[in-house]
Amino acid sequence: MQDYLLCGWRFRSEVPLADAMRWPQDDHPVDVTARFGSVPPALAGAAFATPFTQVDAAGNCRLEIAGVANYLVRDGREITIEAAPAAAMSDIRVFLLGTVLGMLCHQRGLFPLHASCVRIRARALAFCGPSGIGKSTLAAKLVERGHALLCDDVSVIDIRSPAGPLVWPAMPRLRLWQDALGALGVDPGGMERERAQLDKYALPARAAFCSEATRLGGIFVLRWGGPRSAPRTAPLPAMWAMKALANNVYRHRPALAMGRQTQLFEAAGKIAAQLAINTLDRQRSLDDLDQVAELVERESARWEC
Amino acid sequence: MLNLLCSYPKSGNTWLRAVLNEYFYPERAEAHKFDMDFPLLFGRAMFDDLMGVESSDLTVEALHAAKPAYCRSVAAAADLPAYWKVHDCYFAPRPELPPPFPPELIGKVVQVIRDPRDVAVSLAHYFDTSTDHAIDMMGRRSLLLGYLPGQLIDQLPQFVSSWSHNVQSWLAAPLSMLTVRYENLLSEPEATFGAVFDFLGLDAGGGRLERAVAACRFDSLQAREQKYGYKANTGRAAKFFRRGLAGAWRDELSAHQVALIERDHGELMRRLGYLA
Repeated sequence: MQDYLLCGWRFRSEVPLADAMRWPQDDHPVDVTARFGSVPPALAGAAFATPFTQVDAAGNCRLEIAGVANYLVRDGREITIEAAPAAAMSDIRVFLLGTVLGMLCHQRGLFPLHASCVRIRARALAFCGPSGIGKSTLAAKLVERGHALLCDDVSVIDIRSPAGPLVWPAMPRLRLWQDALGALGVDPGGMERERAQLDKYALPARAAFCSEATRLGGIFVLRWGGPRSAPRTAPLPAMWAMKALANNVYRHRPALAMGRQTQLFEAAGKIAAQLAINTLDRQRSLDDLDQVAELVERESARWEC
Repeated sequence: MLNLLCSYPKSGNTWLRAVLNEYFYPERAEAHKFDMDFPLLFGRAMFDDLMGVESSDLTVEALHAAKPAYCRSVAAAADLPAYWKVHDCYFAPRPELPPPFPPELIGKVVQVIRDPRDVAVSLAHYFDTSTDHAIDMMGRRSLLLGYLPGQLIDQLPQFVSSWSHNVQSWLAAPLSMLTVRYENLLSEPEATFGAVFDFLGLDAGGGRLERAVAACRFDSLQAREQKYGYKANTGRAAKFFRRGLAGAWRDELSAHQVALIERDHGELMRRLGYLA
């Protein structure tokens, strides 16, 4: 059992999170606990149910990954994990830090955006979009260019701060596929795979990690541009910005089943009203990665932060 | 219910979807006409959203096994498109896996088929590969698309299988089906698209069919691509809409290549009248 700093929480976990920041020795109460135990085979009266994820009316969530583990997430504080026989700890960790973390955020009233986040000029910039659009790769490129990483894949946004939306840092690592590592000039030999069966690797980013909550400065919505076209960015009008944010809420449908529709809508409205939200169109290849990173740096410099 | 627009790749699926989009949204601005509303069924983002899990963390096996449940969720959701593009074979890749398309969920299916010799030429251009390689892909019973080791793409792995197996699997499927030929979409567009509209129960009166077909003539699609680009082009070729001909294989394939295709697919080609 170890206490970690994850999204600003004191996160006590029986699953080792090797890369995570340790929580300092102090008397701060534990915010979230992840323990091994038994998980019921189903949630009674589920309002959202797929073979993977179930949510009941009280907002409890159950995640089932065959051959890995079943997870039960309650009250935004308690995670119970029932591991499958011979499951690899790394596999258990992947889903703990993915969907389980997202459900925890929803239970805690936060706004988890499907985005990677880096700090540029003391402000957090988020890159959101669906899986495979290049969020992590772009974040890795910006880290290579000297910016600090805040989070990869899921960005936990807190809109309750009076100073404006805050991003809570998560894990100091980037999850990258083999081709992205190649484009970044990193040799995957000797690196840890996220799951033994997948060509996805964890690239540690401890030296370039910002462990402090950071004000969100703006959001880029990643989209595919045409083949062989130069990367482009354009501001999204507030109404479209809200729609884009709603579409990119992490685990959106389970969250709706928890009754979060109004909360999420209001949060998206608040974010869209306060911040620059731009589209960022890029090629379906890694050839334009440097150009995209330069464009992000140039464009965000013009935003009033 | 799920209504499917199915075909082996490079057989006219995008053309059919363009006509349906034109029919439903004739007022859409020219620059946005390619933002089509009838997307690939096995898109990664849609799967993640509906299933409540990251498909990128799941194995190919787990994704194959989840397809029927995913289809059930798509069919049950009220806020999703009416028609879905599919390149998969009707069957699962292996008998121990559940059938990906539970028949009770499937509404209507429009299948587009095309002479495999023309498919080979088009496939080679699309993937920017050699024609020999394209012919090899078309003969591979185990072919998966939407899956590249070492990369994450925005589609899920799709069991496309060989051209013969793919086409045959849908022809024999116990579903409400209409099969149309790419060649007839070209030679008699109004009659053939008209049959599709009738089958789908769409009112094609008042010139709506003629207008939709006219707006999606091949040269119009080419011009639109030239001007605005086709962002859904996941291939490696600069042009998605290339020639749009039937029988172009005659001047693009060698006699040996034609013989290879006929060796692999001759039986079904004869049954479909592509070969005497």
